[in-house]
Amino acid sequence: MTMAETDRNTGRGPDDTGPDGLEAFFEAARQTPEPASARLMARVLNDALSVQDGLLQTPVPSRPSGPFGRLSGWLSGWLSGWLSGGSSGPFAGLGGWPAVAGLSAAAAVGVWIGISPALGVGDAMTSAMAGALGVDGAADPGSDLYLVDYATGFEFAFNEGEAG
Amino acid sequence: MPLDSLARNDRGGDPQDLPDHDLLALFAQGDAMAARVLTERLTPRVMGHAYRMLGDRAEAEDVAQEAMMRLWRIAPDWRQDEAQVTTWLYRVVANLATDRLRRRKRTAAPALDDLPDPVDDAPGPAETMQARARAAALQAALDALPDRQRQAVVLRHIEGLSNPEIAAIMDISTEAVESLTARGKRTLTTALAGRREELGYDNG
Repeated sequence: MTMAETDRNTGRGPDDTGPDGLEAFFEAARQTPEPASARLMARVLNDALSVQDGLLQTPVPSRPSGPFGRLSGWLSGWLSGWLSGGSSGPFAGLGGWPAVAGLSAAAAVGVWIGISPALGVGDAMTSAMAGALGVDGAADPGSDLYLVDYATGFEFAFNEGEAG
Repeated sequence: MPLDSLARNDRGGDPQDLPDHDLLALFAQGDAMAARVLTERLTPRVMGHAYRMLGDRAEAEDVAQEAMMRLWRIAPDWRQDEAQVTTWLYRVVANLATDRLRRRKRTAAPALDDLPDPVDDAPGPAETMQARARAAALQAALDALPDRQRQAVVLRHIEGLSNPEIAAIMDISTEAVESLTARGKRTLTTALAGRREELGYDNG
């Protein structure tokens, strides 16, 4: 049996075992590991606590694992990088980030309009729906359109309250 | 399950019982006890391996500190399904040690300063002294091996890892690990043959 064959089977050569073999040297090394000095342990623990302080002081939202977490982390980093890029960023053509802030405000107003339609919007909707159904909602208030409750809660209370 | 063990810890379980990756998650959440337990558990292993790779205590301490620093920094991004923490650390230590060895070769020949320092003042029992003498002789022979052979032999025969684990650490096949350890051990056997008598192997 060659040494290589023995290695493959057991990881040890024929002369590893016994007091004269390499194994005795390995055993001696295992018995006397180079110790980590108290100074090293203190240095490592000090590093650990410093890094931990840094983690706590700059709260990074715990990044969810998986491809979507990494993607969202990358996207938010990319966006904040672009926004902080100021005039050299992609919004330079729109007037830089102050203009983008204005656009954001306009978008927010749009969202508000979307979720709380103005009073006139209800009437316009009635006409539009009546047109679509081929009936004249204004002329024939008794049609099936009464089944559609398009009024917002506020509009209903406003109208009914005023009527009552 | 990591969540189970984290919950158990919240109820007052001993953090010493938690696996490394759970402690790492606690560390990232700001648990100072996790920092302490991980430091005490992992630093001696990292230091031991760095010393076997470098044969120099001061350099091994620097490498050990740097490897642990990288662990602290990666903690918030550590994924539970990644490699074992120790496997990752062995790999980092090997990379850092190899960089230092390359730099050392470029700058100067090994100096007498690189010989192992006296371990400590307390003269232990005769057996311990003999073990230290043997370990020092082995270390001198290890230092003369090519880096990859030394890494494979140390991981296999001193750290006691399996060939597949070593293959994962070194990014090679298990066959390549076997080849490296076999070559390394042949060289070590030759190098240590002349030391047996002085190390007390032929006395009985």
